This record gives sequence, structure tokens and C-alpha cells, in this order.
Amino acid sequence: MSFDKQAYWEGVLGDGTRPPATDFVGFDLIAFSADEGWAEAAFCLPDEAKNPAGNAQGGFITAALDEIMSVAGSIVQDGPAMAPTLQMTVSFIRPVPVGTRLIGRGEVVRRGKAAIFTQGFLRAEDGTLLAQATASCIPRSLA
Amino acid sequence: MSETEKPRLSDADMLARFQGSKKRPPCSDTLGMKLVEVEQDKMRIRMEFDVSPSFANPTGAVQGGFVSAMLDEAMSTCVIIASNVTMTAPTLEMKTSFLTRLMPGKAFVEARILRLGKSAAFMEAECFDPDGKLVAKATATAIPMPFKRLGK
Repeated sequence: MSFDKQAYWEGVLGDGTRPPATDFVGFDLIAFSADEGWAEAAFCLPDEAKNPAGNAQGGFITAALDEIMSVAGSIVQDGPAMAPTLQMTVSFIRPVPVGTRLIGRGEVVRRGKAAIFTQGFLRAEDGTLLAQATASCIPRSLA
Repeated sequence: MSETEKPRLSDADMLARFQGSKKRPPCSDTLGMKLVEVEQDKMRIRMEFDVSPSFANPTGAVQGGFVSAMLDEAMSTCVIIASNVTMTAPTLEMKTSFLTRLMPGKAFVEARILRLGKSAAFMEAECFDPDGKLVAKATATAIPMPFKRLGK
């Protein structure tokens, strides 16, 4: 029986039981392509993420990007898998509001045997780029 | 300049001022942050965190972004203290290396300023687990700006 990637990841990323960190950043899957190695989700950061200026503190922006980039790094592998992040660089391009719908996109740049390179973008709903990131992670099969 | 320069507090007074602050931003409370050491001469601080299980990833460990949040918190506070509470420093770019996993609970972060210039600040920070093991390291750049320009 072959592994149905699409169905498997729809189940994992959909409305089922999700890890606490995923819920905290308000992850809401929009679309993904396991073959092409990209995923998009809406995010909404809570008031708890506010910095003194009233915007989202950088680490919580990093958390949203880490979520969607890890999804891209996971779905591109052959079976059930995860992609623990080794290193991640985030550029905070514009202030990120809390309590507002944001659009995150994660993409696999290269899928290697020992390492996967990803990039991510967090945008306002009108398409304005708010933050971007690159990361390296390691493939880890859960099969 | 000298007549408008704020007098420096001792390290102990600076620590007390932050620990007693009633104007903490929500992110500090969310991370269970407590400033525990201030060394103004070395532009270095140490913070203690109580990391909530609500930041766990599917393995039960703290998702990397929340580790970055603690590191960012410490580096930003370090700039505020190094500027004698005259400047804040929105982070421009930050790189985090995740050496090993951190479980929810206690964590410690040490941050220091590498250079505090007029147009840029360079910081670094390390995160340790309760056993003192290094779990993550970050470097960041920020733009120092006077507090009032933040608009609130």
C-alpha cells in the first residue's frame, strides 16, 4: 500500500489535535503542495505576544515562520516526517500587528539527504511583506 | 549633553527598577520573564524564564520560535539597560542556532551588547536549560531609537 502524502498531511495539518505552539500562533492551513515543497497558512498572533510598542515581539513572529517553514520541510520528505530546525535567520521588515490575520508561506529551497533548506515569508492580507526568514533543518522520518 | 544626561543607577537599583516595573509588556509575562542579573559595565544581563507548556511542538519540546522569543526579550532589554533606559531597539534581524531541545519549565538567558552605536546595535544571547546546558545561541542587530519615538 503506497503512502498517500496529500491525505496524510491534510489530516495532520487540518482541524485535528494540534500541538500547543501551533495553536498559540493561530495556525490555519490554506494550501500546500508536498510535491513542490511549499505550504501556506493564515496566522493570528494573540495579545500575549505584544511588545512595548504594541506589536508582535520578534520571537513570536519567528514562531509563526518556524511553523510554516517546518511544515514545508516536513511534507517534502517521503513519509510521515518532521524537520527539526537547526538554524534560522529572520528579518523583521515591518511591524507585525497582533489580532490580525497574517499570511505565512514556507518553501523548500533544497531537499538534501542530510539537510533541508527552507525560506519563509509573513505578509499582511494585502500582500505587504512583514518578515522573511531562511533556515536549515534536518530530515527526520517518523515512519 | 551633560546637563540632560540621566544619572546612572547602580546595578542593584537598575535590577530593582525592572523587577518592580508595573509597565511590563504582555510578551514578558507570556514568557514568564524575570530579570535576575544586571552588569552595566559589561553591558550584560541574565534573565530567568518559566516556559509554558503552551509553547510545545509535537515532540513536547519548546518550539524554536519561542526560544527565539526569550533570546529576543533578553537582547532587547540589554539595549534598554545599556542605554540607561533612554533607548529602545527594535530588532532588524536575528539568527538563532538550536543546539539541542528545551523542555517547558525553567530556562535562563544571558545577553550582552557587542556594540552599541548611534545607528546600530549588535547583540548576542545564549539560552541554557535548568542544568546549565547550552540549548540555543542567537545574534541580532537592532536600531537604537529614543523611547518617545515608539508612539506609545
